[in-house]
Amino acid sequence: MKIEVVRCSTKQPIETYLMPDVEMANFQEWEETLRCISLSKLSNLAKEMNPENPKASELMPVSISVDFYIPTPVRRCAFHLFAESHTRGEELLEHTAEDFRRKIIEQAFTLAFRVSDVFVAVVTEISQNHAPHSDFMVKMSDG
Amino acid sequence: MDNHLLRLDEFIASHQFWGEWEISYTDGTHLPRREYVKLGDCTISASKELAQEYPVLPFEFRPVSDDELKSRFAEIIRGHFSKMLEKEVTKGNLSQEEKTTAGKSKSNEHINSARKHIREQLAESLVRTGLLRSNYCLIEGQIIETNYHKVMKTLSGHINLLIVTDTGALRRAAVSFLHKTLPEVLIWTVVPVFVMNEVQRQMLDMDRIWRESGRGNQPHPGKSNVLRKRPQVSCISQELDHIRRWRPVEMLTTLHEHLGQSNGQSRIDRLIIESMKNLKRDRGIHKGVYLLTGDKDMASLANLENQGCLLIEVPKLPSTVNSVRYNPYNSKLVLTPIHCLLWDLALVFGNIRVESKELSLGYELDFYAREFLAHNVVGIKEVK
Repeated sequence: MKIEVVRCSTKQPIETYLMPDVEMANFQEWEETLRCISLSKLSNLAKEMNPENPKASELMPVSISVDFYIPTPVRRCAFHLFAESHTRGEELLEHTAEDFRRKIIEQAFTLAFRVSDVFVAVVTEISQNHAPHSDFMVKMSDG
Repeated sequence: MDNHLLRLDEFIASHQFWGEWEISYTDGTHLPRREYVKLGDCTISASKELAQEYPVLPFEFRPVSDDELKSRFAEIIRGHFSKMLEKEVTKGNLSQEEKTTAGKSKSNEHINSARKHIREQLAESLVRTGLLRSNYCLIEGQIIETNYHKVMKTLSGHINLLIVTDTGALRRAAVSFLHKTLPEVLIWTVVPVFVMNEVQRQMLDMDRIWRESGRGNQPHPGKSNVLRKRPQVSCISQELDHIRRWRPVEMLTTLHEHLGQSNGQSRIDRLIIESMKNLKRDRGIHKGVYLLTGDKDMASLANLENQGCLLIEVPKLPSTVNSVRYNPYNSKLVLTPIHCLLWDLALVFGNIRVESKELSLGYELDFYAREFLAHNVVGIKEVK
């Protein structure tokens, strides 16, 4: 899904946000008329997003890179300790245990997100970057 | 049950959260023992099995509302402090009615203060933990840039950045934010010694407040401003510890005669700006040097003296916060562990409790669990 932010006065797109694993069809209650809307309306849509909606609540592994908001040294130690705790008590050969720990750490980065979480994150960022909302429209499309 | 002293990485690795949790705090300086005030609710929409497979899961945080805070503080003051406040505000011959009115007025003043401090500190906590993004304003020469993407693009145009910070920027973990957002830029952080003087002063102030409260046995509802002072020590220490682990941090010393002049905020601001100018002149660096500050007046002053400045502003506290954020600058999803939020709240509020009624599980995080004010361990115990 692509969201283009358009300045109302010039009708020119000024910024584009991409969500590779999200489609318009994920939000089944949306209509055709929502494809080009004011930023205020988009912001309200995100606030009212229904987490019970089965399509929007679907968990999906995302191809957008994931980063963790922890200092890198702390993150490395935390994930290593977490992986260690999963291998403790198991009778594994050292190289197998090392592989197992590595897989657990890799898995932490491939967490599946709800479609609605990804959408709300992008819309929150768009809303914060473009003010006042009344000066901007957004065009949404699958792309 | 005994406190276990844990580092943040140990906390993330060993404690898993799923389902619904309520977060509350208590503080012996202004709340009676065992009286907790709610800070908010968390929802982690995941099963126990998923929580055991992944160290970090998305969550939603809903900060406590104004009304809930007012009502809780009113209840605590009515239950524990009303007579004390009446005695304080009324001297001489006043009727009982006049005493009650004066007492109520004082109560309202304390309730409003506490409410304001809590909501301010919640917003700052969310900024420090990456759950809320600060607004950035780059001021250089005649140009004031407020578009986040353009600010980051300008900063990333430098191979090296030299950032001179004040206490506000350190307290809001702004340097950590820049490290995370601009990993390809080498950021050299400079902390003028006057900033450390200020931290030291706050540390002494915190000791005094704790002693005056009888080490938590004589709380007073008017002391909720401790919630503003504690982060000046705990959160600044944590920020310095985090950033120096992976990037250079320099304490900028100065002539000893200037140290005696660092009383009063305007003198400190002046000294920070002079330090910055001296630094540029001594090292022959004129590009990529910015003052990082949370103070608009400081930013204006720096700009008047032709010093580049990055001003950070904390947005208003929202009613809901999602731990998944999108960084448009590098097109990545950013995820904050719930542990970081709980940790930061403990550094600010002193003692927090996080409980799940559904799971009959609860933990207490105590910032004061050990002998001296170390920022990198917190006491954690299970509560039934």
